[in-house]
Amino acid sequence: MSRLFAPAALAAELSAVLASATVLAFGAGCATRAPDLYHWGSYEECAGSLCREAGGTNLPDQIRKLSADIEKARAESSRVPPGAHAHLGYLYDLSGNFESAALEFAAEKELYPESAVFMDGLLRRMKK
Amino acid sequence: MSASRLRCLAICAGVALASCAATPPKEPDRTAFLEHMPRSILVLPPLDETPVADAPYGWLATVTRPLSERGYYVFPVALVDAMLKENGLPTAGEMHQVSLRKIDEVFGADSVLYVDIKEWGTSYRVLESDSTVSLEGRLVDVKTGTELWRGSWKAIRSSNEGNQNGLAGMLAGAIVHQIASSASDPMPELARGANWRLFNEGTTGLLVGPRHPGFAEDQKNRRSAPAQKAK
Repeated sequence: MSRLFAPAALAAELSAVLASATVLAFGAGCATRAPDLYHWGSYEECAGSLCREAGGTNLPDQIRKLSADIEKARAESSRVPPGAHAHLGYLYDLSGNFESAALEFAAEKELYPESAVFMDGLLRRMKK
Repeated sequence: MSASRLRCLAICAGVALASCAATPPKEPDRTAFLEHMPRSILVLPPLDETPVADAPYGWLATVTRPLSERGYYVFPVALVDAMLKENGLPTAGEMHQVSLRKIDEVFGADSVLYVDIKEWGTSYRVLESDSTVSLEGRLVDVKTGTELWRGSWKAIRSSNEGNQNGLAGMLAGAIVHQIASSASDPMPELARGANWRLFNEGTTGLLVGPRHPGFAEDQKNRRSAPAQKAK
């Protein structure tokens, strides 16, 4: 084999590559964001598409997706985003499953006390 | 050293200085924001000044994440929209007129975000196409009606971005972009970027909220800053 690929030369080349990779990584590091606080899954887009459909034609599908996302967040012990439980409750409510809806509204309130007034209002309305 | 050489040095130094001095945007007065530091944000469906029917809900589907990641509780946008409609407010225009007292009563929100979509969509010209999102936002304290923050952001993406290949390249760029656009709408991603810049930009965005890990330190620094105006 040629001397060009002698171990010493290879090592020197490798370290040069590594050095430039470090510089690149460092440079890129300035532009990257901190890791997310929440496990997002489909919640954000799901909420948008529901608005668009006004009522939603594929409710069971959306319920399945969002429940799976919440489960996944729990399994990875990352956090369920604000509003996700409440939105799932809303989907249950729309499909006539009021018991599950109430459970989700209560879960939202427990996880995010900021939502207490709103969730209590929804729960009161459901009891009527 | 000759005089001309000296002059050249001076000019070079001037150029170097000027290129460093791309002035960062000035931080607005944060007094009211700090005084009424909200924990939660109610996002109302946006006013829409565009002819694009998709714009309001397209935007609503991209706003929860940046605000939550900034450290605030964000009310579920679809449920809020449905509640307001159910209560006799079919349009965003009417929703934006709801009294803060009513918002406090029904939602218990600390603050309300009013957003106006100024531009939204892709315009095609012969050789290129531009996608644009232009937003204006205002955050208001529910208890007092005080304006806590105001900001705007315009994001544009051109089909010719980074394309230096002359006419043929431009043509190809426009065609590729048009094909790509019909397959996948560029707007959600552009809107996401615009929201991120509007709300999460250090100097001009929202202050870091209570659920953000950096909240305590940011508050401490701001409240002890000597520049803080005495009231």
